[in-house]
Amino acid sequence: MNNDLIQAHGLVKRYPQVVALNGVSFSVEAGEIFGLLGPNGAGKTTTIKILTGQVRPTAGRAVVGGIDVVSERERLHHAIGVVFDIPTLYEEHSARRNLTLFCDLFGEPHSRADELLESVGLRDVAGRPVRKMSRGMKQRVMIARALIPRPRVLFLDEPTGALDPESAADLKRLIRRLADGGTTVFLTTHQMEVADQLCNRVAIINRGQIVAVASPTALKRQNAVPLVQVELYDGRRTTLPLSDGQLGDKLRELAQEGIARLATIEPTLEDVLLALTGRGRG
Amino acid sequence: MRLRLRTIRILVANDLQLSLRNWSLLMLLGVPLLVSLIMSLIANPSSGTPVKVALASGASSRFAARYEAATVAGRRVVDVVPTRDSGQAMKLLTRGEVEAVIFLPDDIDQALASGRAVAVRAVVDDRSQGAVVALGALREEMRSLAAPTPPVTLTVEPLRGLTPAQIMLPAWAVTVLVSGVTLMPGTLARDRREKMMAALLVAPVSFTEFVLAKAIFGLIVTAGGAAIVLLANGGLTGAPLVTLAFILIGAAVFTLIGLLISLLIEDLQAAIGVATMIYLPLLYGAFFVGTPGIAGAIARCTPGYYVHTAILHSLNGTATWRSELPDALSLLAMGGALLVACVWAVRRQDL
Repeated sequence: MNNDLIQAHGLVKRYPQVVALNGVSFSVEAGEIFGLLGPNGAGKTTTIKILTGQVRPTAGRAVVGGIDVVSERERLHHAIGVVFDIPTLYEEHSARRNLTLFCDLFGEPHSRADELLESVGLRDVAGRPVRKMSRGMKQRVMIARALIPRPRVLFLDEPTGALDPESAADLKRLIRRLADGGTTVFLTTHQMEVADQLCNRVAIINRGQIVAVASPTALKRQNAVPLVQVELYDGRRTTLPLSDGQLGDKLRELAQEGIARLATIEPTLEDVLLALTGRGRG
Repeated sequence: MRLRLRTIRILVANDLQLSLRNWSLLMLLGVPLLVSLIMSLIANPSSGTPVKVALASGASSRFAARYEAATVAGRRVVDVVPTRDSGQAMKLLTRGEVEAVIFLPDDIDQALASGRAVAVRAVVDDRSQGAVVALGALREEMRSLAAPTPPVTLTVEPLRGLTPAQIMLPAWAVTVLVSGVTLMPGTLARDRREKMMAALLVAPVSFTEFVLAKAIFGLIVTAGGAAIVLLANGGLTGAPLVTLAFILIGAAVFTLIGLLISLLIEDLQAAIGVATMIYLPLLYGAFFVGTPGIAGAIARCTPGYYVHTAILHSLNGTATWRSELPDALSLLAMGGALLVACVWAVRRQDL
């Protein structure tokens, strides 16, 4: 039985001046945390817009939770929750009012807003105007809002983008908790360590095409090599690939000069991104 | 295309709730109200001020001189405003610049002296207290001069002119209505830029419902604001239903102009810039009503002119559904054309 909750088949999106997506295909299994990574302008936002019904693809088909994102767009709203990359809240409203507005639109009782504010740890500040909240708190309000229709898939666009380390850590815990509770999470991020820590699988997109899909571990193993870093007593540093066939000889030579420190460096997703796209993170 | 009225109602209620905390919007609507109220206070003459009267004929008679010099408790009662002819005198009355127009027979002095019958005609605003004073003084003069030789008759014809405080009222009401042009970019384009629109469109809200809710919000705020300005200044008189109908159609026209700008220009700053640029020309029609020549002709091309004229006619008691129908049709034609353009713009953008 097919367990895919998101299926994208040959998605193409052409704008008058640019081809944003050029045959994007991938699938996401139920319960996964799936990351879409890529440099700026690679097609991450266009992909998320198509999957959430905000933009119609020029060609191709996408199905989310068994719902066609174009022909069944009206049904799609109840299957997904979307958290945008910037705070999309009514700043003058309280956190609770921001949520009750969407409860009204989804036909949910207002008690759902209280329940969700409790779950994201904002019950005590529910009545505070959003404009008086920190960016981390706003992000939590947006997640609570996205969860109102009890979505099967939660889309997060740059969820930790502008957060301080503590807020980012809190948010990552929250995302993990949601995934553990059975929600499928689809996120885009330019913070590779976030993707590394959170995602079961990631797809790397470059110039509108998917160039790799695998778990972070597999991607690193396939596309980047661990390094050996050598620091000599005179302060000089040398980095050697662990896969180098003459590594032993080279280390012996360096040892004669006096090795102060020797360490292995594991490859990161940043290295993978660089290797696969030739460009830095977006 | 299925429209959910419940969704539209929720969005309109939300926008109205937000508008109560929007200071720039409150200023936009509050300033015309405040200024109109201040002008009403300033324009209301004190009880000791002579009543302005125009003599449409017989102004050079001895009777006219006596009438102008009449006093009560040592104070002059009337102030005769010089006029060229009866046409100008009547114009002054309809514009509220005088409170009565009096037609004296050219031979009034000789008639009174010879004991012939004298018929004096007065046209007054029947709501004006000043007119009562002017007529009282006139009657007194006629009685004193004609004492031994009646009959002297005074015919009073009511004509609903404008009080000084009401002269600017139609323009203030139109000013509030025109604010719909800048209100729409302020709310629709802002929601688009701040991705609030995107957040709503991934909920069960269609683009058409979102736009329709914004238009209804604009209509309620501008039409309600204009009605409040008139109500607070005692301007819903004459034919109030005609006034309200024109306010509603005018609000729709200006809101649709703002909506079209917001739909065609996606950048917030550019949309607000364009709306501000056309805000002043749209006000032109309200402030240059009745101006002769090219200035008046240009004024007649703006929707504000028709709303202004209808409110003016209503205030001076000459408005009827029939008399205002051509202007209403002109406004509705403008609104219809704008509606078609807005529907096209919505369809262009909707998924």
